Amino acid sequence: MLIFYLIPFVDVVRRSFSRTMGGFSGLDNYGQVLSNSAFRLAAGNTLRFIAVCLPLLLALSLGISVLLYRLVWGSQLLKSAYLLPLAIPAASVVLLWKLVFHEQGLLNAFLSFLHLNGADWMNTHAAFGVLVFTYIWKNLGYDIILWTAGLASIPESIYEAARVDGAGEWTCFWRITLPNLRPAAFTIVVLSVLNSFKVFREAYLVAGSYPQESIYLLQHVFNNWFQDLSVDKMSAGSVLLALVILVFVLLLQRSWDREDLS
Amino acid sequence: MRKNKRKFALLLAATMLTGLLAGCGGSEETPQTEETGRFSETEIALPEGISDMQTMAKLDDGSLEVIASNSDTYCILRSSDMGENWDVTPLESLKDSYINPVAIAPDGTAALFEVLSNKKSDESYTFTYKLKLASPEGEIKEINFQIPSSGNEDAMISGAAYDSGGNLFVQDTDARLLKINTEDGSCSQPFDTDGKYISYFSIAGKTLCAVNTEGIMLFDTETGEALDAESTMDDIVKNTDYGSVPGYDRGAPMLLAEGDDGSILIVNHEGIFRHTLGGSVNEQLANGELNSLNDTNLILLSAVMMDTNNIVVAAFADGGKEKILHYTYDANASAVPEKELSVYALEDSALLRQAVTIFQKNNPDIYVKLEIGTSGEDGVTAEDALKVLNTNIMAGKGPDVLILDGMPIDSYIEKNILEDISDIVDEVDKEDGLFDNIKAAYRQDDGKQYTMPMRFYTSIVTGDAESVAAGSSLKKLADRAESLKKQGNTPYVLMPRRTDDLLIELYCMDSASWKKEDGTVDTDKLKEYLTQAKRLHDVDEFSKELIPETSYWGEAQMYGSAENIGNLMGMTQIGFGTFAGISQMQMLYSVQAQNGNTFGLMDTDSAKSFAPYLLTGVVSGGDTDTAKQFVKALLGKEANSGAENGFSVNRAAYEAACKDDMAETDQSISSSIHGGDGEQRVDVDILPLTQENIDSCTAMLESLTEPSMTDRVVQNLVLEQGQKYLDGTQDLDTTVKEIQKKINLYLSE
Repeated sequence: MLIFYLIPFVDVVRRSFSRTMGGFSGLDNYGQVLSNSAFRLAAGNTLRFIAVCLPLLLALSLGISVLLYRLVWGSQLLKSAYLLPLAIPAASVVLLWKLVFHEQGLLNAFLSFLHLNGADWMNTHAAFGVLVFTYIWKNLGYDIILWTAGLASIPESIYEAARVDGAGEWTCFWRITLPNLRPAAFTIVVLSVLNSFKVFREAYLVAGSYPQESIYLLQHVFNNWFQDLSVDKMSAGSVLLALVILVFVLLLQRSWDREDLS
Repeated sequence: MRKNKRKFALLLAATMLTGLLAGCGGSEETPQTEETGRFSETEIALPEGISDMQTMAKLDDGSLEVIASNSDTYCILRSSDMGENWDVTPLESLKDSYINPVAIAPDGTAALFEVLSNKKSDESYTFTYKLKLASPEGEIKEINFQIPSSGNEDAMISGAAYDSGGNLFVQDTDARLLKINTEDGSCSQPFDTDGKYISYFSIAGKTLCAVNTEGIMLFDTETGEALDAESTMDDIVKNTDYGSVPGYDRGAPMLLAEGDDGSILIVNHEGIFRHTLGGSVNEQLANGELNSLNDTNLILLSAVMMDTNNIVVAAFADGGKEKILHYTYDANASAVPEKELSVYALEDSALLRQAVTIFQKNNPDIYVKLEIGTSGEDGVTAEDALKVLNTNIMAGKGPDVLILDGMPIDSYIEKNILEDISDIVDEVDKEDGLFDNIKAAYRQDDGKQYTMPMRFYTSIVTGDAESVAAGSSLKKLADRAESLKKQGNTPYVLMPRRTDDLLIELYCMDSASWKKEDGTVDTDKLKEYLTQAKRLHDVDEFSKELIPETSYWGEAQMYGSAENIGNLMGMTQIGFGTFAGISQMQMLYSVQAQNGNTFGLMDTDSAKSFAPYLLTGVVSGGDTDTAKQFVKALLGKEANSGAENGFSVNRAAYEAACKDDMAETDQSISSSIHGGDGEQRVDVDILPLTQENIDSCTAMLESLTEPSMTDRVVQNLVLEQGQKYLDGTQDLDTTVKEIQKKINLYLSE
């Protein structure tokens, strides 16, 4: 941790106050980054992406895992099936996506068969939807497994006692399942946020360095700055991003702790 | 106990950390034991006027014999002092003959195969041969000889060689290896090649080496028996593309000759090797990277090991100059050069490699390591390569010299990555002269200069005077093309081209004027470029098979003159494209003499622009002195001595190349075009350039002021979206909007 993360990060912090080829620059890099319209667009898109994807993923995966948990037959098989997307290499996914979402690809051919209008999926605002779909498709199985582990840790006796007291399925879910999943939820939320940054791989490989502007993410900016050797701006941007994630995790933890106390 | 355990754990962690961190740091170079002994290269001068070298051999008396031509006829050249002096014996009776191939016997007798062509039909010929044996004194004896019938009447002789016993062997295009009795001309077929196609063959002593795609088959020339395969020799063939030398009737991709102590000498672009039969290694005697052999423009003819310390290789450069390279073993020279200079380019270039070879040859104490970012073999994109390069630069392990084509030049200058090279540029200017306009385009306001191209090219329009005048703007040109289409005098108005090629050609002409003062791109100009590109694209309706399958855009951007051929054939009326060399200038004037078509700079209303090629820069912080020395060589006369791949910025090289093309020539170029009515052929007699031609073109080149936009990202964005518009899948406004959005995003980064 110290060698591979913390020490390099200290170097990034140092570089964020320097020019690319050395020389102290004070807060100039931060000023440049914050006033940079490309960075602001990317930060906005990334935030929007997380804001859309996170609730969607958490709700979907929780719903499916609860259903699977109740399912007596075939749940193991289904769980494995949901995990399959994780096992598919990004390059293969990208190839498939290009075939499916190209202007003259399979999806548009299918829509045309249904007498519906297609779209240039990767070059219109629909690209954002494709990216959201990619993220959900890829991470759903992983989150289902995490939720299922949380569900397994809830003693069956609590449900039995509640049912004896006349509680229905919905009440059980709302009053027993959800509160008992809170410790698992913290981990799942943090992991899902961090995984949302990994969707850049697919976005980059499908649409390149300058994709449709709605899927222009922070990693695109960092990637392009690196090509341009703008290490100064890249370092400042990275420090800002790390701070945002740190604050987010701390706030999340604090609200969790408060809930625990109450 | 617990305290001790904790202390031990801490100590262990600290030790590991120290070890790891030490591993991350810059390691001191391990002192190496200096090994000495290296084959160094010199060039043996041939007598004045000698060209068209055919073959070379070492004779029994130790002298060196070469068969070549002078301006008049074939001749025998002999030297008994390693090329210090040559005796030249012209073979007058062969004055009007076409000889191919030639072999030299150990006693000095030369076997020359005279080719006689017989017209079979309008376009095809069959060939018969006369074998002529030339004695060392120049007396010719004709031998009655005929290739035995193989059922293929088009069979030709493709190679000939003598073994050390004086027996003559030939190979024909049916891949047969034949032994010829030089007394009566009779042929026998002593070798069983197992039905394998033989690309070419050589003889090393009494071992015949037949090269095929899988390896080298070895035969004893006396018994005809196949010898055991030598897998290490086969590896050389398997690992490299060793088919044949395209476009030439002489030369081979690899030479095999008799080495010392019964070994076989192997010469290719990787160097000189010695292989002992039955051995498991090819011992490298000379590393091609340290001498001229690395130059892939060099076509290898013959190799001879004179003795253990002297090897001679005959070769000629693609495009002409004959060379005899002499490799002498210097026991005191360090085995590897003491200094290393690294040169990095995103894309490979034969011109760059040639410059590296020249620098290497002139500076044997410096090893030039040329690294190509996108070799095309490993799927690495320019973006990936740039990331690796930037990481290395940041780590202080970057190259010494950068070939900046396709790189973020402005960003590198802004970040002080590049060194000021104005002193070196001025030095070359003082010595040889440079195109002042090109130099000025890269000189900063403060007098500093961070880059300079080695070559440049521009764009021309060809056709009648009215069309050439219309070429001053894309709009006028499109108007003219549409008006000619309406007149319908020729099947087409323009030559067929791919949309990406059309866009990039027009981009090179037009983009110089797009950049506004604030660094953004002028939308109106972008729109105008796309509109006119679409109009030019739509003038003719070409069937799919007429559109080239692969893009021709690359190093050999010589299409302005090629387009003129279409005009000459009456297929098209306007041609446009890059104007990239003196050979092209000669071609344009030759066509002009034939049909009166003229040519002029294109799109000059927007800017008189040029496209730079091989932009060179020196990286700060490295061995800048050696790097500048390299840049000086790159811009110098010797490295720029070609008439193609752009115009040299070096005036002395440019003028020398012009002068070469002022000489009388009997060259003619035959071109064919597949049109709607089948194939059409035309012959163009290449005329020598006149001083007037050169002055006119030089004035044209001197008028260029603006470099076209070399930014790879902008170019890719324009091409990507522009193609959709030209193909009709996207409207103009959307295209411009998309390009604008992405370019603005890029510029705002």
